[in-house]
Amino acid sequence: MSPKTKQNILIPIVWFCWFFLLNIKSFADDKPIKLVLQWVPQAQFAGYYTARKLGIYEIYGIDVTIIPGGPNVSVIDCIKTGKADFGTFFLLNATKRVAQGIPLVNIAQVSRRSALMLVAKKSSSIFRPEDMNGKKIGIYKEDFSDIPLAFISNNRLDVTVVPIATGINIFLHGGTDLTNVMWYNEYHTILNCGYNADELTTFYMSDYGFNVPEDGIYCLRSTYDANPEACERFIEATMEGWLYAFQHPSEALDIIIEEMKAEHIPANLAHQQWMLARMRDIILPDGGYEFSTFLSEETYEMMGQILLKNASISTLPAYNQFYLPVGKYAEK
Amino acid sequence: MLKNRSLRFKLSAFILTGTILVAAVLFSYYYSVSRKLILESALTNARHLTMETVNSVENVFRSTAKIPENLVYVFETGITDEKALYRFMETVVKNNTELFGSAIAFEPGAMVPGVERFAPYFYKNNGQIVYSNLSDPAYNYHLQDWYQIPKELNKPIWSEPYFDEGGGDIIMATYSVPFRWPNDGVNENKFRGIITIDISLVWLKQVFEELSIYETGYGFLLSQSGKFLVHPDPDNVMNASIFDIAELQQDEKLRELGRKMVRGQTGFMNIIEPVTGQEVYLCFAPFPSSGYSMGIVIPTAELFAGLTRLNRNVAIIAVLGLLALFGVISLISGRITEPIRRLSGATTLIGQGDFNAVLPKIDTNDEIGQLMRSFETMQIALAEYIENLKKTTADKEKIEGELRIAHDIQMSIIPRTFPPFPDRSDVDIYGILESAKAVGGDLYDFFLLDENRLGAAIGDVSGKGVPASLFMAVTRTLLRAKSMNMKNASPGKIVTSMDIDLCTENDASMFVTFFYFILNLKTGELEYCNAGHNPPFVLDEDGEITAIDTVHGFPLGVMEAEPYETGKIKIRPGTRIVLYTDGVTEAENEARELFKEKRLLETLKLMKDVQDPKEISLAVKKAVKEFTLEAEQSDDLTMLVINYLGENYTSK
Amino acid sequence: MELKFYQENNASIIEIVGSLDTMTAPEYEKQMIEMIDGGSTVFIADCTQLDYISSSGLRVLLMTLKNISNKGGKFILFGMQEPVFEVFKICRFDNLFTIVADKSAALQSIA
Repeated sequence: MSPKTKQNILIPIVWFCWFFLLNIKSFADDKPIKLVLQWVPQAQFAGYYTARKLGIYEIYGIDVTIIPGGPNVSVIDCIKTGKADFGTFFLLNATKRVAQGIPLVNIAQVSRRSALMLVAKKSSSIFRPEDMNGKKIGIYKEDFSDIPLAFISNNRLDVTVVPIATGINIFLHGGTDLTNVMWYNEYHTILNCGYNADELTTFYMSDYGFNVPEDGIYCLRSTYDANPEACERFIEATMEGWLYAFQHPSEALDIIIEEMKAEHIPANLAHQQWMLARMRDIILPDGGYEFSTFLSEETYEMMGQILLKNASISTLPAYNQFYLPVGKYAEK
Repeated sequence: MLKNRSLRFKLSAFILTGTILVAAVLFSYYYSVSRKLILESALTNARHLTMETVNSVENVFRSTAKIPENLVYVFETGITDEKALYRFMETVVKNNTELFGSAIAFEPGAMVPGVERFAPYFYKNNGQIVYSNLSDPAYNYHLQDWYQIPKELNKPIWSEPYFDEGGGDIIMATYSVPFRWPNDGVNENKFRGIITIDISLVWLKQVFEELSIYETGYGFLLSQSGKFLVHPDPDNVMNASIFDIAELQQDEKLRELGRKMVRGQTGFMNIIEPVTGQEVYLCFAPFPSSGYSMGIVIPTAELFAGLTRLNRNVAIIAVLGLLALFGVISLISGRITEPIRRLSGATTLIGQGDFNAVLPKIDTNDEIGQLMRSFETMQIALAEYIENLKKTTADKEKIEGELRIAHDIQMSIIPRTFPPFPDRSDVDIYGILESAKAVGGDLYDFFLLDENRLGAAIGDVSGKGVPASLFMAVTRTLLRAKSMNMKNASPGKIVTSMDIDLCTENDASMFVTFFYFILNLKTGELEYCNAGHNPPFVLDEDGEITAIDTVHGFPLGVMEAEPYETGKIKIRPGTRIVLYTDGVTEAENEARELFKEKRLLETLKLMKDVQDPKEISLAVKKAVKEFTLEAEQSDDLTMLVINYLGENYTSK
Repeated sequence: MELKFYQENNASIIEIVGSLDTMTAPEYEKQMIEMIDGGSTVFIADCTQLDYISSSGLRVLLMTLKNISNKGGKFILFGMQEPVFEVFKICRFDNLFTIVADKSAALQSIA
């Protein structure tokens, strides 16, 4: 029996005993839960897949089905129609939905810092924000555009915004001078198309006053009210999943690659490796293993101001309505 | 370390070492040159293969690219209505076998006013030409790379390869060419849309799979972004880029290679292949029209397999050869040095005294043979020499023996009994004669001529050794004979007679200094004759010292000259007469100083009250000895002291 | 002892340096025989540096004298040191040999 297999069997057993001793919960309470993710399987969702694969959800007494996202899957529709109980959203987008009237609540702010970036080639002579004047900047439509546009307007930049839908190719070919990417995703793609970090100028939105965290776990208010305890267990099990993934990255990557292959998504190990490492920087920005799912009112207000300013929303939903501290990681 | 080793070992070791060094240098040179040649040849072949591949692929890309370019031309000048457009497109797709499909995508309202999206697309499906409009808002072709990139760059572009929508493993690529409004005063040559053609890249894959690069070599193909389009490992195809592999392997060199290829460079690189870990050479070149690039991988091990085998065989042969060489050298040098060893053994025996030790027989004419013959000669000569030496030594011992006898004889003819006349109270005598050599030339003598007369003489023959002693013997014999014969003759007459005899037949020019006196013991009258001898000293009864320093003539034997005269003195009882030879006065110490008369006189002064001639003699001898100390005795030490006491001597 | 030879005014001049004794007399004898056999008949002995003479030395000088006299030649000694002259006097050789004060006197006497 290979050590890997041993590990696969042994560790769950340890977990089982550990949690059996600490958390004697009602095992009869195996409520089926459906989670829809905002994109296709990738390391961005390592915690969920790990928790499910290793049976952590089961230990917590919940039966979780994961509905993978993708270009043809609308998370909000799934939640609205009840196809899924929980879904992951960017904070900004969820706020917009709530402002539109959908009674979503944020029960866990998993991402702790912004991963949004603008990238330019040094050969375009862009080193500071002011160098962007007169240049073409590619920005993803809809979900990703609020902050970059706010950045442009704040810095009073005269740029040509080129809407992009598919990726960084236009940037690589020189069709745009700047492009907007996620730190854990497209930035690495640029690096692995042959650009060295020292050939690029990076603008982290978090450095320019836009440190808005992204991924969070949401559900309908009614879902939470119906079984707050299950929500709590779900979140705590998820965070255990993240913990395991960070402590055993190569095992987590194996799980993710398996999921990707199952969904016929091209699975690139180097890319997933980078993504998992950056997720760790985003979920545990201070290092260590002190998780937090707390969303502060200041952060919410700051983010809300951006949306109000660009008229995406007319009013900001109340903080207490929007965010519910659920579980032990939500303690301030 | 080498000092104590045998010749055989040294020879073998040095020759072997030299040979090994020469062989090693040769081998390394040959190996490195062979390697270089093989490598150059392989790389040249690789480059040719690469270029051939690039050329043939480029031909396809370029000819394919011509299609939409021609379309653009035709469209810009000719076609104005929708129907004509459809017919045209359908024909194009149908008639060009390599095309999979073709589309014309317009800017919003650029074909049909008010229509946001209009993009007729014709493609082949199951042998039929199918029409579709890519106007789906969800698709939003305006934001697709194949539209957006050539639009923004304003130039034709090949897309990144992608998988066909219909599923399956067919890799496709699209060539997009932007077209513009005609400059008809209305639309000012503005951008109007994109014409595309889709082709499958399966043929490209086949080209690569058919590349024959040794047995384990292969070719790979990268897209514009470095993604693998063709690779032995299917997991990488359309999935990972060369940079991803480099990142996983932490391989800087591989990343660098990727950058070079993606930037359209041509060249060679020597790297370690990521997964297998084996050393390979890589030849890479771009496909200029599409921006893709290819590489050919040649495993070094396979490349040099033949050479490696050759090396191994050569090494084995060399080692065996060297071992054999070592054996041969060892044998030969052993054979050469063996006679030397035997010779050495025989020589040791000779050195221990066995002059008849048998030398090894060596008949060769080389250096060893010559050495052997020299040794034989030396051995014989040595044996002879030793024989002669033995004989000479024996002879010498005989002579020395005879000399000892001669010494004894000589000593016996000199009176040695003291006191000589114990019954007489009127005279006492003591004499010393110590020869420097075994036999010497000094003499003294005394005898009673009659009742009342004493004759005494001292003499010093010129020279030393046997000749002098013989001459001394003759002189003494003559003295006695003449004295006896000429009983009443004066000392002068006797000495004259002696001289005549001694001068006869004296070729050797030997002479003897001689002093002879006759003392009348009753009267104290003394007659003397001095033939060239040191004047004796006289210590009278009062202790006054005088010398009898009249010299009457030459030493005896010089030449017959005038007759010798006789001198006369009278002495009183208590007088001591000291006769000596120059062995006393010319005794040398180590500083080569002479004893001299002065010291003799001083010593005699001390003896002024001593009557005993023995005491006086010994005192002088002691003084001389104390003077000469360690110096070698150069001359005979001879003294004769006569103490005249007279008839009725009474000491004072 | 050293012997030096040179010719001057038809005379063979022998310079005797050191001591003429049992050890050195044979060498002198050998040289003298050679020179006499070579035909020289006039000999002048430079005794200025002769500082010792033993009976052996006297003997060889006597031999020289006899030899040269037999051939009708001349043997003259000059510059004799006092101790050496003493020895000559004792043996009465001062009458036998021609002894002069210096070289010029010696040369004069053979002229």
